[in-house]
Amino acid sequence: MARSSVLLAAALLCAAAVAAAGAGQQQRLLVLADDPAAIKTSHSKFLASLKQRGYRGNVKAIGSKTLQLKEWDDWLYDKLVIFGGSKALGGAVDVEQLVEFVDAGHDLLLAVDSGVSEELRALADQLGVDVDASGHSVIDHFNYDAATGATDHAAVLASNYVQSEAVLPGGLKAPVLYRGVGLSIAPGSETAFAALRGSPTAYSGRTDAAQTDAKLAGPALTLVALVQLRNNARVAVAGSVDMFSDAAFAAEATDRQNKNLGAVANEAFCTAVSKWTFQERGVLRASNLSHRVVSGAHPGAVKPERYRINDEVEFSVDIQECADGACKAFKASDVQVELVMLDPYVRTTLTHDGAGRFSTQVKVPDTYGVFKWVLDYRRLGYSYIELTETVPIRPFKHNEYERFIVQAYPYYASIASMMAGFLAVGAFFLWTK
Amino acid sequence: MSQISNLKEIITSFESAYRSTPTKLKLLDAFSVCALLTAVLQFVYAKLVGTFPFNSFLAGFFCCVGAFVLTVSLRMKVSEGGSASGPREFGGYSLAMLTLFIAAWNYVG
Repeated sequence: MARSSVLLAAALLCAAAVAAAGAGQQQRLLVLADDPAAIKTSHSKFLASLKQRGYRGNVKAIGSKTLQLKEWDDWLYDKLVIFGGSKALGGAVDVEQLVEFVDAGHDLLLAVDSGVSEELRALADQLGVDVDASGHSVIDHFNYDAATGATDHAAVLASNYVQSEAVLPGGLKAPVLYRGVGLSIAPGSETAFAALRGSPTAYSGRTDAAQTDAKLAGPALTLVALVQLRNNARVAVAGSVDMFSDAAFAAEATDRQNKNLGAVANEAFCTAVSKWTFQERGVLRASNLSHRVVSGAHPGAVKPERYRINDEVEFSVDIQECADGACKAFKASDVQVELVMLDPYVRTTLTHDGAGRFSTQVKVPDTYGVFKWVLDYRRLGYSYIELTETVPIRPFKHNEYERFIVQAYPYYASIASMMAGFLAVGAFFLWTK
Repeated sequence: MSQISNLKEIITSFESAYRSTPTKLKLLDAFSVCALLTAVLQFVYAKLVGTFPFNSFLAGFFCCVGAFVLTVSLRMKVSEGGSASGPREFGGYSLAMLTLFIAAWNYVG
């Protein structure tokens, strides 16, 4: 009796857990900050919006001696937000474990400021983003906010955002108020890109000393960097902690002529960045990769063991785009597939039917060997799709050629003529004197 | 100068001597020359058009060369100074030619 009631209770609990999923899917979130109590008051709106999207978790001190991310082999959290301070990482957590956390496929949102610790600088560096030297700030003498940055011009109004429907659908309607340190991304980076850049007049420097040159300036100066790692984990590095605060969300931009420009777009921008980073936007899912022979050796065979040269085959895959908890058919005209054996022999663009099924018809090359279909789709803001399917290609069997080959007719004729000649010679030889 | 006149003498003396060979032998000579010409023609064709299918080219070429060799050996046997002429040598020759043709037709594909 007791056993069956325990079983019933367990079943009910499971059902409740499954039913209570939101866009955050009941993911475990950890927020680390220098002073948890202060962050809870100054960044309450941002934290509330995360909770509202379904993330459950708490704020802990970054230097706490009992801090741990892992219990033996299990990760205790799915997402991590670090409001970077100057205190060192405490407890069992260090830079190596944070990199391991991201390597395991979890997402990280890291906000730093000018006085950030060396450890967090090293962490950002490992993830592909360089934080500018300590003491430096982003300064703009033309696009600063006169309300908060009139004296040092270090509170800039940034409106150079990335044009990507996956990261910022619809763009930003107003500038973003930003007071913090500059970041830099390697120009050839395959994984990191800038979500918010400096305007042409922005540069990174010291507010207390005059400068004649600036190493980071203009669009090369990154304010918020987003990284889509090769295992499809996402990291956001923002150079300003104040950008996420309640004060910044409620602020109104004032340009240097003291004209009011209206509310800033910090709330919209920070929400969009956190949504992208926590895999709520721009996630592509490919499934149901299939290929079949249209005409050739075994017409109609689906996923055959091998092809024969010069077959006609059809390749298809289903791709869905997941955003805000719902997955819809992906619509794009630049998905390509290759048939590769060391080099690609065939490369075509797939066409979609509007319901997420991408397909194309391809003539198998005239070379035999072990080939593979390679679908490698990397676009800014979207997760990577890397699919391969190995399929060998065989040559004609010797009884699959046509019976009499046109090019060999002279040889057939020569042998026939030899026979005819032999018969004529023989007849003459034997029956004449 | 003397070399050219020597050559002319050789050719004319050869022609007059050849006229007196028996018809049977002349027939075998004609067949041998045809076989050789056909072989050369096939070689030139393969050079121009390509060697696909290679087995067919080899079959045709060596059939002609083989026929040439067999006919020359028959001529050697049947000519004056060799063994007696007649059906016996021809029997051996036709057996060999038959084997050659069987092999050639099989290999030409």
